[in-house]
Amino acid sequence: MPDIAPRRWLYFFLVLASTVAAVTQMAGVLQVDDFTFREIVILALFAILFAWIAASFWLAVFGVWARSTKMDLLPLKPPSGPSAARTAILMPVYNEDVARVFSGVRAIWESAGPDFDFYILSDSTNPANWVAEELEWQKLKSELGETAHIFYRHRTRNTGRKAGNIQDFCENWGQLYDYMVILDADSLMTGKTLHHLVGLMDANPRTALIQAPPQLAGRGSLFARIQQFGSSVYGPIHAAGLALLQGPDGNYWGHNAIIRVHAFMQSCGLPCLPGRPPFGGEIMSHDFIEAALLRRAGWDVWMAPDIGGSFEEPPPTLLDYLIRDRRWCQGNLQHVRIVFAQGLTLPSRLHLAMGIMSYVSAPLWLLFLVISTIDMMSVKAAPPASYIGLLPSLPLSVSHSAELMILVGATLILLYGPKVLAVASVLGNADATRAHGGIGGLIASAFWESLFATLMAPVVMLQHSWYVCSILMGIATGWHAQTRTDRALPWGLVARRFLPHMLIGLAATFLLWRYAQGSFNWFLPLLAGLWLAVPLVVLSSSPLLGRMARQDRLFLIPSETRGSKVLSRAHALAESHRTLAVPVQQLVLEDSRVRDLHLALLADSPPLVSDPERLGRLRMQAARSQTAHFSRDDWTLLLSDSEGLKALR
Amino acid sequence: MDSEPRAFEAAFVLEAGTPLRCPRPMIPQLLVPWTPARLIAAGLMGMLSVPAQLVPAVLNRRRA
Repeated sequence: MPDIAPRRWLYFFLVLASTVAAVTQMAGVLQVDDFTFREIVILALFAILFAWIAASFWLAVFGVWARSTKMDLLPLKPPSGPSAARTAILMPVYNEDVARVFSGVRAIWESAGPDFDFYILSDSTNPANWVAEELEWQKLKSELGETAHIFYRHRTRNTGRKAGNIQDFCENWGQLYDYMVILDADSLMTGKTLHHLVGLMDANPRTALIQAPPQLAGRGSLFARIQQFGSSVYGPIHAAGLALLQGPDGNYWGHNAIIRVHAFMQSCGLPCLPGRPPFGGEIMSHDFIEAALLRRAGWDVWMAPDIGGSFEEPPPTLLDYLIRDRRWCQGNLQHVRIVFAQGLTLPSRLHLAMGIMSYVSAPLWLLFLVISTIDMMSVKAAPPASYIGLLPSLPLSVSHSAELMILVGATLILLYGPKVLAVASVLGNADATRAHGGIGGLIASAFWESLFATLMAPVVMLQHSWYVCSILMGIATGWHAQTRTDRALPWGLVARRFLPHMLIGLAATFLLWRYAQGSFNWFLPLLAGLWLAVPLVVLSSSPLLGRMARQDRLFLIPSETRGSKVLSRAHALAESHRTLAVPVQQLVLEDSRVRDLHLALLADSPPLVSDPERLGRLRMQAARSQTAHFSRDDWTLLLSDSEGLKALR
Repeated sequence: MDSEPRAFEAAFVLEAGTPLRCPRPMIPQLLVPWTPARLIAAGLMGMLSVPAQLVPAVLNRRRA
């Protein structure tokens, strides 16, 4: 393996040098006479934020370097022949679209063949989802026949959330397997990729985890298509840069990764943090911690940026994206308590710190903007020229436009440079250019994507700032199922959710126009995003606009232009899925076959402890078919009661 | 009750959803945060020891 330290030192030197240069320039602008306290705060914030965007920029530059020199980014021994290892593919689900889950499992099974065992690990709390999953599992088993090893397990208590779900699998069936591949409910992986990952694990016994970076694909709304395009064009150079710098100190993104089961079981039991959520309790963002624990135990964690055949779906709308970010934000901020835990390697700490910073940077940007605007407003005018000669020192009005223009130019290069480099990198490959809609389509898509990202940035900044503040105030989020289906958002809903952003935008416009008119134009891109928040969120959620963009060859990605068997198969299966018209949980009471299936699956589960009086009442009402007023909890209790259900026979 | 429409026409295969369990617990790992004093000491140690990572690369280059 090549020595990784010089690259890391070069990277840190470049980030540091660009930050020092920018901060020196900024200090020159601010230091007309002595620094005020406000100017020191501005300078400190500027240093942190500039270092943050410089880190991202140089990562992209390293990525382009790795791609252009065709560097081997996964220096592992190649697979040698067929594998005798046993591998389980795990799909943890939590109140997900049942058709989507089982279509995905079937598409992967058809692509991978019978060498893998599949586990659908359900934590669904919605009784309709629970029973529908059982029926779909039964249907899939009967259609695929004996050769398909597809298993289903439901937990009534969701201890530890997703990490607890995986831990439950490991503790009960982990010993049966050498490796496990973790998927998300919207993940897809090709059989070729899965077999390759297993071969790599066989050939490299020190490796505990290989992350196959998922490419965003499969959704049709305009917002999702923009995300997919961004991930396809900009993602590869960032992934290459990361792989180049992290080497065996890689990270885990929670899904689309293969894991050595005994290493995971040995090293990745997660503790419950002392105190209450959001900072205490169960660890929410478990993936970074699990990678850090594997590294602490001496195992290698790799990323395979060129492996391909690994997909996930983006959130269909900005609203869904931000809802997901609330959970991720809380999970990442919780890492503040772990980043200094004893024994972790320095790269693991950096992964955790960068995860924290990806959300904390938003309130820091906001603070920087607010304080520097106040500073601009309070600049005193130079004394009238007629006083010259009468004062002890000569007051000269000094222009800092040149230095400021250099700083703004440097910031723009750091922000947009990675996009330009990524587009240039794609343009250098004729096949990749065609796959993204040709030269015209690629450049137009990159332009519109950049414009959209610029307009949305202040909205996301405000939202992330609120998330960070609310978490610091101790407000924790629950565990909600993600919305993964395309839908045009109604104007009323979006207006309610994004009205504060628009009002803040209008108030900022008034204040800047009134008190800092000379600098007003600099703020226009930020203000425009806030003014247009509601229409942009509504329009970008539209599947119709997404289809129109596709017809105009905008935001095309290789899995659309070249096609992907596993993606199209999963979509075809999901579209042909027939939804039952009746409340599915009712079938357990009304259809003896459904009840017998449910009881067979329940046989292995621990009984749910509850109030016997309440259970007795529910049993009686169920026997009389008086279930119309049953709550979700009532149904869960009833469906967990094997004795009562047997009595209905 | 059983006269209601059937959910699926195919015959149901009644079997357990999973293979037999072979339980083995996972032990929760210790994640003990550093105290400020330890943190400062570790920072100083890091500043001294991390540049040493470069030594093998420098030596290799000289030999080459």
